Amino acid sequence: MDIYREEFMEIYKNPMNQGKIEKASLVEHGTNEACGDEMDLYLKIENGKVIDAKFEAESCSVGIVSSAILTDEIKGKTLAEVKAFSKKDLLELIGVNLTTSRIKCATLPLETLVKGIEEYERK
Amino acid sequence: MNTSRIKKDFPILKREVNGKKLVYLDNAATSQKPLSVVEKISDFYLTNNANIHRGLHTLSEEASEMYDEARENIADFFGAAKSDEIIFTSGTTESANLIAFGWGEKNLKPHDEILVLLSEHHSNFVPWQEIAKRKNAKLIVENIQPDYSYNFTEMYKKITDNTKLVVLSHASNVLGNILEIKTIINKCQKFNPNLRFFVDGAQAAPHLEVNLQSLGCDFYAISGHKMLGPTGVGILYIKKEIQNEVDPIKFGGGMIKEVYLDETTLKNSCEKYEGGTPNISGVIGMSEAINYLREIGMENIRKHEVELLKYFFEKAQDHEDMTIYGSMSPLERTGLVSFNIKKIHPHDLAAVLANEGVAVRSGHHCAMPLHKHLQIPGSVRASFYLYNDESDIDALFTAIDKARKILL
Ligand SMILES: Cc1ncc(COP(=O)(O)O)c(C=O)c1O
Repeated sequence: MDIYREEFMEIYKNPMNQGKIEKASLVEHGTNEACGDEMDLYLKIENGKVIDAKFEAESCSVGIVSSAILTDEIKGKTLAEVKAFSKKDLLELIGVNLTTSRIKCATLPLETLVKGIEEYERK
Repeated sequence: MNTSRIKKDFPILKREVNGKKLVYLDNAATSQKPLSVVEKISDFYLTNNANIHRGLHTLSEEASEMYDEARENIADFFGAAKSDEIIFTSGTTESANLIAFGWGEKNLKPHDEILVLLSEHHSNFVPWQEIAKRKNAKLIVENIQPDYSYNFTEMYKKITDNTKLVVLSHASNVLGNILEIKTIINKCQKFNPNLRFFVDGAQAAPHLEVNLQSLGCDFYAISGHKMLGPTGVGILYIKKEIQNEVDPIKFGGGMIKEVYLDETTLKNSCEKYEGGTPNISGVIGMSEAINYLREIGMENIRKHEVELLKYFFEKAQDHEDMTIYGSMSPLERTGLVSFNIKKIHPHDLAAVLANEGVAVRSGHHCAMPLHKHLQIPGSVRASFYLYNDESDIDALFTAIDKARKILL
């Protein structure tokens, strides 16, 4: 029962950074076609730094916990730092053993983030 | 039905997962295989293996005979008029593609119409969508009613002279609803006698007695692996009279009469669709699976699954937070139940069940249009087969209780 241990469930039941950011610098929608998960990621960026990050997700516990941890992690970081943040870093932070089929649930927030920043920088 | 005896024929069911007894309730994805099927395949490789219809040597003749006998046996089991109407493919997906591209390419014109149901599995939806796009034809999707049934009277009204094909699932892999194929075909023909009918039998053939002649469809697709056979064997019925309307999609060895530098003539039999070396051992194993099912009797399997459904629905009454999709009448559905538990995501539920040794499927089960329509991200599906019994359903509900404790 590795994944549903206490710390994980605590975040799932009361996730950090859940909600919208009004007047966000970027809003990105992400979907995981394989399992039907959907999420919206909101970032407020000032002077090349992420000053706030929030998310709304319709997803399993892994997706919610991952979104909460990721948004927490990137707050205060520069875009360069955020871009250097890898899938491996994220999985380490989540810190539970995920089966192959659920790694995708965990990485959706990161994929959404990468896509969002790419689009933000293109503008 | 003596499930404890049947369970003994399936060695995998003795397995433990995470220190718990395996409770296998993912039969709609693929069924387990009895020892007789596994042994048949291994015997074939150990004693008869050779390519078929090619050599004059003893092994090749034995293998060819076994392959041909398998076709006879399977044709007989499903009530085809001739074994020449049975084509071996890799599964229902390939079968739908063979008809979409082998028949559709040849017969569809711009503005022609194909009718399909909303609840189709992607394998019986995307090929039609694709061929319609390529031929500038129209795919017309029949919507499902709030009670999860189809209003066929409404569907018949959509049949015009332009309608060329009606695509139906004998049973849905999410809702389990069994369609009265024969009646539907008869009624459709009143609106247009020239229609062709493709029936996806992937979820029906393993659970119901299927008689192809009496159903009256032109094409019927079955996945062997969902009915005790090995993976990689599909059974596609193409009515003999219709075979001249369907071109092969695989050209190569084994399907030709004569090849000249500028021209090739094809065999005029089911073999024209089976270019290349077929899945010989798989087909022989499939035939053994059919023998096993014949021995138990499809009627008995059906009765058994209806009993399991009744038991499931009875237990479900004590679970107010459980939403079940599909008809609540066991007689109208096959032995599978898709459901959700309030406030628990299907993946989380399935993951906790897996930890308890209970194997179920979660997600959209390759039926995204249906799940979008129901406005749910997915569901959990428990699907039964002949070796399941009430204790498996008990284990499922116990594991659901545990999931609530962990996740809510
Ligand atoms: C109703 C239905 N149609 C088609 C398929 C596809 O079958 P296969 O994957 O064996 O080609 C399935 C099974 O997944 C199914 O349940």
